[in-house]
Amino acid sequence: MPSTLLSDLPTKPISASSLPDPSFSFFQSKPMSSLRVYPDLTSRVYPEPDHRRIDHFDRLPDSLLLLVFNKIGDVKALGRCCVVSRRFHSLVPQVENVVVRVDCVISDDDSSPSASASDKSRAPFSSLFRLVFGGIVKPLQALGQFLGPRRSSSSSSSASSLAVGNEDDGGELEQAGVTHHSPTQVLKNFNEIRFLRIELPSGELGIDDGVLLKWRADFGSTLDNCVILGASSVIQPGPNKPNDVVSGSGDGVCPANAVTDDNGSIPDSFYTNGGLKLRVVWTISSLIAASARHYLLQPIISEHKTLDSLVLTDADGQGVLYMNREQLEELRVKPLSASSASKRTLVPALNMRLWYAPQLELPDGVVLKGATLVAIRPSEQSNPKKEVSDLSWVSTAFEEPYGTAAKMLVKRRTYCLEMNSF
Amino acid sequence: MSRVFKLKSSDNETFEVEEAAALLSETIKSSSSTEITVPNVKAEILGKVVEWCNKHAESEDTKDQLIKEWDAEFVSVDQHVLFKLITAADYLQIKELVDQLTQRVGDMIKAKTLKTVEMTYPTFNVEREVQEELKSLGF
Repeated sequence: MPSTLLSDLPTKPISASSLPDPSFSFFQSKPMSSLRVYPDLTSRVYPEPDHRRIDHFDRLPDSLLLLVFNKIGDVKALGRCCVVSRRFHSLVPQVENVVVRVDCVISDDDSSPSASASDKSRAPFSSLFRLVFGGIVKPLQALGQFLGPRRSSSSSSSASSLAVGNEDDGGELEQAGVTHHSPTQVLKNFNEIRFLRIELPSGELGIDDGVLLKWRADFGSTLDNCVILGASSVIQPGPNKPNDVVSGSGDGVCPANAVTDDNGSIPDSFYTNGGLKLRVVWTISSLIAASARHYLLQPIISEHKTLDSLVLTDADGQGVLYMNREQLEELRVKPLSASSASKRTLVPALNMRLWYAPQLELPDGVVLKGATLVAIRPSEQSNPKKEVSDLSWVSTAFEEPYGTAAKMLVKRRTYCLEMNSF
Repeated sequence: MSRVFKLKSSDNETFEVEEAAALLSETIKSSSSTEITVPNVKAEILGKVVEWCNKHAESEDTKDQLIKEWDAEFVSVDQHVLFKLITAADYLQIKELVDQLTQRVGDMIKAKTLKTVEMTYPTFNVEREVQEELKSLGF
């Protein structure tokens, strides 16, 4: 009897709001006898007595469901939500807050060698940079893993590579095959993103163990500003008191408050022992990484006009790129200039300010050796809103504990540098 | 002199709530009366909402670690109860409670998902570019 009744059910819900979606996979495994169908068929059909998750969501109006999706943020989880039901499918594209966690990066190795010939004709740098040294940067591990599709299982959604399974699987989802997706592709599913955060699996810069290197860059059509914090080594506080830390920088005796007892100047040894060279490499590397990220964001930015904020960071916390609403709009209106040789944005001519401390002790006891802070801005400020002396953007560039390090370093003697566009 | 509000559940149970706790609800705030019936919300659920409001009214600083732990405990309820709480909190327009509850649902959804999509990001060889750059500087 129940089965006959079931065959009389319309294939489409009579009232879309009162019946659950036609993707009845949730109900398939339930024995017929447990379905209770009301005679007028306009009431909800639901399995008794088990309160299944799909029930609960029916209780929520779209606005609350959307709130849940905005709290999820993670694009893979949202992709799965997208195929749960027609309702979910229609709501996911309206999510405003999206986080993309990238699994691996594919290095593009076909930049033509001939392009470098045109780079030779550059204007001479200031004398501070005329030091001869070879490449110091450690080779970057290119993680070009190409994963082919895995063995397909019997999932129904074989057309999409975002697999979803029957809820009865006890949480284990069967995989219908795995293919590559770029963030740009995946984000096409969303129409109203306001807050986008993309997280790369690691920083691009291969640095030696123990070295600290962090950058933060803000971009519009071009670089607006960049702050770099580096240290040649980081000493964690041991069980001893910080006073016991031995200074290795050649400064002689350094008591706990190392910052206050020298005049903030860079010691002469810095120029001869490779200290300056290293910092130049840090600076150039960070700017290249930042400009590469900026370049690759173009398609996402042009497609998503509702964006208020875009953050591109990495799981190591090495570099963070920020763009706010104005900057995003600027890029749409005024396209970026690309570097001739590679797929990155051209870095404009820069004014840089550098601060250095041979030894910097942070309030939590961590000691940074050879601590360096570099504050970078284009030489031509198209919109000089801030006074040159206002350094708040520098001291607030990083989260703690590095924020404090930056605040301590800016109080020291400032060195000014210039760099040509590259 | 603090007013006392009376909240009545759909199964006719009344909860007395102090002003500070009651005013966490925008619905109550904008109500002209101190007696509010909350439709479709049973006593079991309304009682929990009142409990949350009382807790949050007495603690000034919501960033306090203790209250965070209390909140985490509070939202760790059966799915059944969780969704009913959301509806109730939404009706009463208690923004922070709605946020906490929906966050919990979001976390539960996330926790169920497994990694089946590989996300890749195209980049270019930073190290090589740096070396070329340094060469062009004459280094």
